[in-house]
Amino acid sequence: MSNKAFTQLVDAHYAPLYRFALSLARNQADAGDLVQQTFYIWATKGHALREIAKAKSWLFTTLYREFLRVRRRENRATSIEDLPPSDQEVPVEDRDRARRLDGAMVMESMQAVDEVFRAPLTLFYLEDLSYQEIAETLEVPIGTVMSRLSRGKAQLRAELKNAETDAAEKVVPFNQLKKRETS
Amino acid sequence: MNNDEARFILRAYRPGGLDAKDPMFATALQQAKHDPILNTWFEREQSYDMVLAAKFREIMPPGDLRDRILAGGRVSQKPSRSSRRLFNWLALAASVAVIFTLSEVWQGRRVEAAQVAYAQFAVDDTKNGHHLPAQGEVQKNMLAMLAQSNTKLPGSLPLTMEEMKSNGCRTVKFAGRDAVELCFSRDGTWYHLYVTSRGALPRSLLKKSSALLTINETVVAVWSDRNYDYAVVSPEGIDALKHLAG
Repeated sequence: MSNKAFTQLVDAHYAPLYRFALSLARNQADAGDLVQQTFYIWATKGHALREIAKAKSWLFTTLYREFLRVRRRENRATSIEDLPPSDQEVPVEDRDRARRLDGAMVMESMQAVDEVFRAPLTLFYLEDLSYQEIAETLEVPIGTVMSRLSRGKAQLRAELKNAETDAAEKVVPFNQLKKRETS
Repeated sequence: MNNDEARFILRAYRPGGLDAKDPMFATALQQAKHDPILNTWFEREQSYDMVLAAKFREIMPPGDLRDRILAGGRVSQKPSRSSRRLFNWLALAASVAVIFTLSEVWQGRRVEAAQVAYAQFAVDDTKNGHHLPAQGEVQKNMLAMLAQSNTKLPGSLPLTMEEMKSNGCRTVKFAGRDAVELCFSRDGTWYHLYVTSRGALPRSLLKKSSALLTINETVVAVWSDRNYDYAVVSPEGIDALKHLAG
């Protein structure tokens, strides 16, 4: 693959890959490392992929495998037991709440979701992969992806609610602030 | 299909109609069209998902990530000709052999992209950079310390970036960060040591020993401590680097 083609590939995919990595790794340094390592593996092995159209799925799959490899090495396994129940409804206030939060807070809430749901849910919201491609990337059956999306969405909604409550508690009304200063 | 089953399927339907042509959703979509309760739920779900997807797009990668990826990719890409590929495989095999041969001194580990990029940078600068003689007493003392055999490398240095920079050490850029170069001689062999603030190499490598890499037939050692990432190059090869470990 030429340098130009490699640069085009990087430009097309490094931002969504970084978002996926940030959701998994939960910190910017490790997320950057994961993305860099993914493209390094592409540069050494991925160029052999015959269908360039599959490069996107290949990159997401490789990044996820690298994440699992590093996590195994660091012995930070996450239990996939005790899946929480799924909510049935999306109240209007949930959508309005999400609108009020900025991207960083939404990402923080996503990072608080159990890893087993977090990976498919992040891929879903990145919108780059269909449910079938998510299943291939995570190497799980389609039904499992759907189940995890359903339950993951419920958990994310709860986390977003907590995030907004926490943010509201940190806001001190101006008059209280003045009282504190004068006391 | 009841509404609960339809909801279960439609939760995987990406906002913006990206999955509109997927037959798996057809029945559930039809059902939502004819059932007002399900339809209201689906519209809210899609609207909510659309808001969240937009929020995720607000997250931007660090400014230097693209450069780091491209630097790592350039040094590791292989031309498509099979003979060239074979040569590179042999070169890779040779470098791995080097790592294991020297495992007593340099604990070889799995090479990471960032290590390759940093090693490539050190080799390029050693070959093409404009190296300057030591300036001032403080810098000469630093180089004298590096010249002594009791300064073991890889290891941490009792120097800060600020001390090195403020005392005239040559400063170059690696992945947007300042990297200070110290050219020193030990027992008649010249070495080029590069020091940059933490971040060039993955955090996961912090507690590990150095990696030894062969870049364009030049051997480089890279390692990290709590504050800095280091690379040392000697044009005189592996034995010269081995000598640094004492």
